[in-house]
Amino acid sequence: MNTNPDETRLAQWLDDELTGTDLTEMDAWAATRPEQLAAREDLRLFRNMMATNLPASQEPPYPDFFLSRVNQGIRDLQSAEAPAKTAAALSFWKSWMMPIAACAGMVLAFGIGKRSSEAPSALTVVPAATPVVYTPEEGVDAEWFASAGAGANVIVLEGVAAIPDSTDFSETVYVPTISEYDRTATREKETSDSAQQ
Amino acid sequence: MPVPQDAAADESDEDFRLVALAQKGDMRAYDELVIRHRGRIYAMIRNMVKNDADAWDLSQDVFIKAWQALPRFEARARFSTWLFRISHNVVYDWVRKRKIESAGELNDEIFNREKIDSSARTAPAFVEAPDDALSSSELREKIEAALAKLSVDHREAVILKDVQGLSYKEIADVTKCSIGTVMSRLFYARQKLQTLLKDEYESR
Repeated sequence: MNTNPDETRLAQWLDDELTGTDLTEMDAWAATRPEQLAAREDLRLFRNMMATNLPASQEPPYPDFFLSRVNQGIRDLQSAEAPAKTAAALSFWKSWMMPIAACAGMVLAFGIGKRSSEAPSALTVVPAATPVVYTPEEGVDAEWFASAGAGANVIVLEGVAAIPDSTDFSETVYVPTISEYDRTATREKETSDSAQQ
Repeated sequence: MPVPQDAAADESDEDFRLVALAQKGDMRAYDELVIRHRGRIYAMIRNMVKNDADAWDLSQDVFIKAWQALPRFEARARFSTWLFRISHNVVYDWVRKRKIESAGELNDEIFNREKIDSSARTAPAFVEAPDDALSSSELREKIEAALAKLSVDHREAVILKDVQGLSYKEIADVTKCSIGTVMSRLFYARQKLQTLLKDEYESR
């Protein structure tokens, strides 16, 4: 190697980064330059002092807790990302699908309205469905759990025979009376009665 | 000590295998990666921030951020080099935040004993704490103290090169600067450290 190496190559040689032909060439070049050999030796001493006194690897304190904290951090990250994805999906729904759905709804309503205007004027009397209240048989234990916090009511029935697939649950709907679903209705009636007296 | 090349290649292969599994959502594979690399990341960050508790927290941040960025990891660099790059970002953010938070606060570095005139009549008496007195002879502490006097850029360059054994190119990748800048930082950092550690350095 007749010419001087560039700065990067010289630095790599001084730092023992070169291998193969590059190293052989640089060694040949430096063989007649004792100051470069001394500089490399000096650097090796320095690196050795640093590497032997400062650990390249050191287990963090409480390594198991460290790992569980990392796992918890990842779980927090995932749970924070989930609502963001839902929000993104909702914004897509709002910006594109909602107007389309609204238009479709208007067309449907217009169609239904047109049909009803063409229908015969005579009123069709629909017989009122008689609700069937499901009553447990004898020997059935029923327990009711209500959780205000969860906003849930759970009724557990033990000893009930299997319900056949043919059962129509719409017929088991309990229809409350007016006073049961609207207490003010009764009160208003009472108030108006007392005012008349 | 830096890892020998053959061993490093084997480690890289195993890292890539675990990364591929973790990218598919395998948490056990990711746990294995954390266990394999937490020592180097913690040591590197601890040398940078000089505080065990902060280093502990920041190292966790590195692995959480790495998980988040894992789908974007391509096997063009070693996984450890990639982690060092994330560590670089985490440490620099921390340094920046601390500078903002401590703006206007009392800088206790102005009370550095070396800056007090030794002939001053009011110089405070100095008594070494028992623990300090016991360990002050250790070279490690002197090196750590000398490192603390370097700028963050210079400190990082010397830690990545002389402690972690990264190449110039890898350091340039980690710190997002040119090889020329890495060379320059290393030159000045080593020069200053050699001056600060003159006694220890020459006695070897």
